[in-house]
Amino acid sequence: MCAFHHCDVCGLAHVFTSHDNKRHLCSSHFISDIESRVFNEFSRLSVAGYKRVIIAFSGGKDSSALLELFARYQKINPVFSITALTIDEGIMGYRDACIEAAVTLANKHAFEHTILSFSNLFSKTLDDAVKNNCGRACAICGPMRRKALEEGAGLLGADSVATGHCLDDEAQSILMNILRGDGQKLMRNPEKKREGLIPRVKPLRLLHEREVTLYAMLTGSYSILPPCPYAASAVRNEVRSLLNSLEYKHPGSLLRLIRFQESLWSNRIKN
Amino acid sequence: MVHLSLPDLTIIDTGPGPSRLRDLLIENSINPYEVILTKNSEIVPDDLEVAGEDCIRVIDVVHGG
Repeated sequence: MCAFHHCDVCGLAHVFTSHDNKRHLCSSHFISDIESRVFNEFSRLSVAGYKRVIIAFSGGKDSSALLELFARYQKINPVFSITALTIDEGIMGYRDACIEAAVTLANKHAFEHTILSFSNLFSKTLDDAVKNNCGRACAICGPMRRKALEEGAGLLGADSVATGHCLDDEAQSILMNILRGDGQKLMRNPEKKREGLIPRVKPLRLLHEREVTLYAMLTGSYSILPPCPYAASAVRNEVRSLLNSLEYKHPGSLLRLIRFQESLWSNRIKN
Repeated sequence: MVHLSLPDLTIIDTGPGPSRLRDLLIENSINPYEVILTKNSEIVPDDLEVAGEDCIRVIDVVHGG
């Protein structure tokens, strides 16, 4: 026996119930809702003067959803020059599947696609770099990836790097910076232009990870990929679990963390 | 009896009678915020009532690639 459920917009069967505002949406109205929110962000970026965008494209669900959204936006408003950039960290048994998924999706949308590897850029793979230090893999990988993206974006003449970070990622980073006592990172707005650095833009930063995943699944841009073998060691997992539990019990907690950081940024400008 | 097929490929058989999916997840220590559900390969919301021999696949959005 199934209870009858329907979309708040059209009355068809719904696939999504928002846990915070309890909206019910069918597949097509869920897709429209996500696109309308992200396309507004793309328009804002275009007005801000960004034209040559590099998409940091791992082939995972978040960056695949971002690529799909850019592809759909470009069809109605082709204002960006886009290249997808994949960083191959050199993780045995993991990266090959992700790169294959990335190549397939980039080809589907006829995007230019560049792959840069840690072994070419740093003369070692991530597996080499963490050989005796697996527990710190994410702490070692993060800065190497950022440097690789920066170099790749510079080579490709980008004025911005778009990443697939979603609301959950951003909230986790805020709490991790607080727990580490790293006020400098907390205060750093990645979109702000700095000498010698290419600005990072995050068009999915107000979407829940669940929404991003569902969008990728409903638009055919989702591939089931193996989890990163080093991810289990990350402190981020503990923070994620804590925040997800808070978000379920107290909807809106993640967004309030983002607004808290934005208030710090704007107070800094005023002061 | 509803069957929940988890991301680690284990299957949980829940008790008889109709239940809301969200409640079944919580009973089995799964945070509904962290998963997407499918029934017969169709995505279904977690406020769906299920019963009988329904088989629900639980997809982890956190580690899904």
